[in-house]
Amino acid sequence: MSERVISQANLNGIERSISSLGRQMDFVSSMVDTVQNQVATVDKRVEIVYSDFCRFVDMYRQKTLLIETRQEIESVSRTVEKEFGHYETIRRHAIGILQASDLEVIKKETIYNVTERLMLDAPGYWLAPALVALAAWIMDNKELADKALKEAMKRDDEKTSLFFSLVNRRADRFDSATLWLDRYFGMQDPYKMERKITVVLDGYANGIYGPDAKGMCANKIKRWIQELSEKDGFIEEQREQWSKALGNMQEDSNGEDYPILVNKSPTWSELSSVLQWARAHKKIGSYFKEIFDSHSNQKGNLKEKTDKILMNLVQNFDAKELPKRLELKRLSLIIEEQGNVDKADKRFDIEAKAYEEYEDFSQHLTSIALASEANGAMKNTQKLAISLSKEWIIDAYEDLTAKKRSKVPNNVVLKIAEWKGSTTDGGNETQLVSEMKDHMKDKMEKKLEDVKLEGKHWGMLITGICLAGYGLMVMNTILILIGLIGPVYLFFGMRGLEPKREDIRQYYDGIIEDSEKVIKGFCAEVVDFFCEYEEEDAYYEGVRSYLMGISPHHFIENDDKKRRMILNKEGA
Amino acid sequence: MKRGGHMPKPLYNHNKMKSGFQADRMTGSSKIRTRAKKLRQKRSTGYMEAVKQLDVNGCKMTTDQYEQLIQVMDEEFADIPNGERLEGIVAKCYLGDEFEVHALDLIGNIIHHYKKGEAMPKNLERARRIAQHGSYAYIEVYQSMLIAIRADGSGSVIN
Repeated sequence: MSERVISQANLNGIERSISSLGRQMDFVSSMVDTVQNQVATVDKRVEIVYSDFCRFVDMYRQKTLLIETRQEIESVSRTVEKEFGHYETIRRHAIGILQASDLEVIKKETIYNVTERLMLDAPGYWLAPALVALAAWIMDNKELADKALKEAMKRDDEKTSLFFSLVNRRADRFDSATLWLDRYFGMQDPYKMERKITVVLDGYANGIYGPDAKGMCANKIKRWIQELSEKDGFIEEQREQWSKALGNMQEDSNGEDYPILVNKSPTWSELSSVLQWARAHKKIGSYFKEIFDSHSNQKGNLKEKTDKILMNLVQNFDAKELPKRLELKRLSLIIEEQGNVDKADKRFDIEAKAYEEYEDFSQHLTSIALASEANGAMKNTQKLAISLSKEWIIDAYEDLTAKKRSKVPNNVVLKIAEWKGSTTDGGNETQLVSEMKDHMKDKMEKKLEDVKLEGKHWGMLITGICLAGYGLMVMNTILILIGLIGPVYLFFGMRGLEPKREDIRQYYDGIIEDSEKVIKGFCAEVVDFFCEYEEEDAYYEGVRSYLMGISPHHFIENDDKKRRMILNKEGA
Repeated sequence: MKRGGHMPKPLYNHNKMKSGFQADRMTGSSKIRTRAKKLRQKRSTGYMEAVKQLDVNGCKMTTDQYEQLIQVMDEEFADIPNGERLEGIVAKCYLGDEFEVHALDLIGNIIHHYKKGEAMPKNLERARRIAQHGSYAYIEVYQSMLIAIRADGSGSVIN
């Protein structure tokens, strides 16, 4: 029995050991927390490295694509040169012959011999016999001219008619020019036209034609548009086309001005969409103003202007070269868009229409309006095309604007963890903060309620009491000691509850403080957003008024006045 | 239309209403084309003035005034081949700060001025935002589209 008596000192020793154990467990627990935080930090850094790596890979891919695209462009250009290089020679001769004939510095026989050789160089090409006919005309050889002309018309009737319409106009033979133009018009179907109609529009817009031809052009254009407008769905198609084209003028918004809205608001995608369109008004206005404010780069006398249009006719509209030209166009768009293939393809879808062989007249107008260079059209012609398409453009612009305005969200939602709040104008910051705090406090209370002694604590206590009690009964000191572990375990369990509760309170205090800052920032950004939106949206009226003020007559150069002055002078 | 709070009463018996917008038997793509073209045409001054009265008279509009309004609307759309019904008109409300929009619900024959946050019938709710914009005199609500009418009577279609 005496061996079983445990001295008070031993019990104190046991208690100290258990305390030490408790402290060591606390230490281990705090070490675990530290390691957890460090793991979170490492995790964040790994994320940053990963996203940097992905960005690097994207940049590398883009650079490689650009290099490959440039090589491809060179290869296609070489192919075009190889297959169609001789066409270029013939084209240069067309203007050369006309200018040489003006100056009378070359013998007519020389001109004729050159054209004969061209016939041999390019079998099947319409321009070769057309030049022979021209040379024969200069030499006053009617029989040869008729023969060559028939061959040229057989190879390409429309181009030959246009060519001689311009050549005659160049020589101030108004009646012949009008006849050839009338012949060309007679072959036209407004539903299915080739791109060379651009040449006619170039002549019309730049005042090349005399009054009769000009009147004929004006009437034809008016009749074609009327006829097309009567077709089911035609006007809707034009609006849709212009809607797409105007929509493409929007720029993606990366939201860098509104970081909280981007990260915390489920409404951001709608907000971004309406803001993108609002910002586009300025760009659309600038786009049209730049076109209409630019001075015609077609200065020069009538012959110079006609030569330019002639060059355009012979250079830009050959069907055989079309596939290669399309390929070159797409590749050059990829370069322009810095390797962004999606963006390049979007632009190509619109601009490629300019290269389509057969389209209806309105499609040609749209193509010229949107991509005049691709169509080989002159600046004045682009202005004319836009003004003829004005109604469709304005309808598309108005409809698109109204649609976007109707999508402005009534409520902007903020989401912080599981809490959601909303605002119409950013003016209810106090209310949002109060709602957020109530929500967080509810959550905190629930968490605090969960901090309590667990079943194991009570189990240990009961087991301990039972063991100690039994030990007392049988006077077994060891059993008593073991039984005492139960209450001690419970004691330390209870001691640990308050620190846990304190941790929870601190955690939620931190969340509330951070969330309050987010709400303040959110409300400020909502106010800024709507300010910017209204400011940008206000540009719409100016752009609309500008478009309404455009008229086709403004952009048709008038050579009649000059002619009348010359005629009057001659008549005097 | 039933809503909590202020419950607008139908202005008069639905059966008595002369409907200018019932579908007739005309079909065909040319009628659809004609209809679409005519709906885009400028609204007449008389029609614009009549719609303005919605805000001026408020909920105090009498049955006679309402019938007059419907008659003006019938005349405005008389030569439009039908295929879709005009369901209502929504416009910005200038009665006071607490009011956002007012609406003429042609299905329920109700005119009501809606306060901020007060829900509208589902078919008219989609016109709320654009009606508040201020650039449009009012918004015509159809089944499959909205037409935003400007002060000069010209309209933009929202599909």
